[in-house]
Amino acid sequence: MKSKTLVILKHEFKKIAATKTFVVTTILGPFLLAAMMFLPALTSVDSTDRSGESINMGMYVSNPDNAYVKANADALQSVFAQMGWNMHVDTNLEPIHQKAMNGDLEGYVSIESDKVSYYSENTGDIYVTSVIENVVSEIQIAQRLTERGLDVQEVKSLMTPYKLPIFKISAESGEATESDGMTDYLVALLVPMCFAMMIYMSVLLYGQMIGRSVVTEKTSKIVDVLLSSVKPSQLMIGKIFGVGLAGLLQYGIWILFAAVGLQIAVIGFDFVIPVQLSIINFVYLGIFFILGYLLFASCYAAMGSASEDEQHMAQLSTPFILFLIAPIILMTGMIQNPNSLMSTIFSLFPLTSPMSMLAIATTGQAPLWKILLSIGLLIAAIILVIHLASKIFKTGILMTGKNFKFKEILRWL
Amino acid sequence: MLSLKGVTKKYGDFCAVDKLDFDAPAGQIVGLIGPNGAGKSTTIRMIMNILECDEGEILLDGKKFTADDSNIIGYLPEERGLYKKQKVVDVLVYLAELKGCTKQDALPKIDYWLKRFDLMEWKDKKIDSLSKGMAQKIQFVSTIIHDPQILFLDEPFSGLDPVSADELLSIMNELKQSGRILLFSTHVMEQAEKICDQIIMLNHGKKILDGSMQKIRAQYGKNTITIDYSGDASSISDLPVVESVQHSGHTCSVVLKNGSSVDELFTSLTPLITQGKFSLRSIKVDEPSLHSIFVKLAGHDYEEKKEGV
Repeated sequence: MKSKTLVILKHEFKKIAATKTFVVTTILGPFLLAAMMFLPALTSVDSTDRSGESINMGMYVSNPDNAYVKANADALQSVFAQMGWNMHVDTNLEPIHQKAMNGDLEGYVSIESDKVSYYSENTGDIYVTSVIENVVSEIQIAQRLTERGLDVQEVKSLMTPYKLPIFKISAESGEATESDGMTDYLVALLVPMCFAMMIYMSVLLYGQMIGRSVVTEKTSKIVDVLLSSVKPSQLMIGKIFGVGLAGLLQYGIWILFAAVGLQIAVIGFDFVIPVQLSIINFVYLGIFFILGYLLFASCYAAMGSASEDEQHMAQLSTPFILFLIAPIILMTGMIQNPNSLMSTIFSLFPLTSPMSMLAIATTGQAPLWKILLSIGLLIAAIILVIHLASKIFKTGILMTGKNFKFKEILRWL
Repeated sequence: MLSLKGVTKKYGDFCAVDKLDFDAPAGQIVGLIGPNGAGKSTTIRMIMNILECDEGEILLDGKKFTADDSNIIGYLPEERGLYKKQKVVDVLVYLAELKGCTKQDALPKIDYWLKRFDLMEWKDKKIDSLSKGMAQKIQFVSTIIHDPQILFLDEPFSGLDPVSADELLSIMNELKQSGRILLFSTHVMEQAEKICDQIIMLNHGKKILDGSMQKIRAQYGKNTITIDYSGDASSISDLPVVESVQHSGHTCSVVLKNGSSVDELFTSLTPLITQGKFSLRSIKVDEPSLHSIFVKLAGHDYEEKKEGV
């Protein structure tokens, strides 16, 4: 009878792993993930920095003889020239305002004897406005300093802020090396976030796959034929492990990709592997993926069996999705403060612990006993949930014709 | 022989199957009939070990029939379903493997049955490219690929063209001759009448009829007699053995009183004929159709449901 579970496992595995979608997502997945993480960063830098663009910038100079007006106009013109922007200076307001309205000009700076202002259709462009603001305020400050008889250059050099040198102590050798705190902070945040996102996406993806597969078999009536051959528990376990194996294969390939990519980066670009990408952390990733998957897959199998169609299943599984989303929202806080009460609760409670404990463990700030406790609690929860899920499954799979509520389903236990 | 002894299934207060007993001997086709909701599906699901019975037991050749015996049963459910996105051969191999066959054993058998149904060219096509009738035949093939000892066919002929239906019937007869236990369920009474050696009829979860067609006819067919005559036969209704008479032209349909026999009617007709009131052309004891027995037994439940449909 054991071997029938294997037959189902093999069938479910092939049903997923032998599809084009699987091959494509497995190969493109890492690139998509990388693109998702780095593209916004790259594009956001690019989109704000507009130096070098050929922007048509207007300038209305009300009274060129006025010293204040002249100082500002000169300074702005030289900065704009450095940016490579085109200048359109006019002493009449009307034509320049018209051009800005038509879109011939990005906007224009109006320089009057007592104030400088900026007019544009696109007032949301922070880059342009801040360039203008900086130039004008520097002139203002210089003017005030001069009025008090202070030397502008001298004050500037006196006001230079202190740059705090940061040293990182290596856990292995105790050596201290100078580091850029910001980069470290980002990497320390990025790696756990990335790992947690991977768990989130794959658990959701594969969990729903199981739910859908159960619903399909139920609605297409194959289930009667299947159940005349195997026990409901065999069917459920076979499905969970078959789909899970496909997931593991995908993970294996992704980790291989990552290892090769890192190696190339190290050899080719002198890339220093962040401590967060250690072997032990990849082991944690594997463990928490497997455990998180088993837990949610059982829930999905049970919900799928109780559903009339996919919409109904989505409704029934909403509570579980909330447990997946909550750690993502609170992730930054947990990583920065791994010993807070919230972090402890989230990293030990089985429905949230796969992602939370993984993220905290990845930062290297969780004691080993806590990690082991979290894993132990997860395993206990999985055993309990599989037991309950197979009870629901057994009843639900034969129940048709009604959209059961979550509460009614719990009564089948 | 498959035996059900006092099999009962309850859903809460509702009793779907109530103390059901019957035997399905090897080498016979046993028809399980009854109106919708009579408890057929539940009975089938219990035999298939999909549901457990609350009381009673199901025995095969005297031994308890359990989930471990699932390899020797083949099941064609009324509502068909196969994996739409998969190839015919892959689905058949999978279902055979679930019945304990190896792929190597299953493949030649799949070829054999596909050939018989003229479906070889569809072997590597996906299920959803098949017509409904073809999918139906594929599903039938999946129920016999592992050479089951017990076969349950629920409405196996629905959706089949006459040629395929004949092929299916001859396969059923082959299986019957080779000593398999065949259970068969249908709503088409003419089919059941033609095919089944034994009929079991359920209503409200209880068995209300059990026996061979001959026996059933003998039980329900004696009290209606059709008489062709010439002359005036109105006096027939006055005979003490007659319950009611319906005349149409020179034919009348006579229903006998309970307990009265055809012989008695004949004896009481003779004086009327000798008196010259009418002359007899033919007299025939009606063989009731299974349909009429079904309607009679299932009563207005069935008629109501039929109108509902």
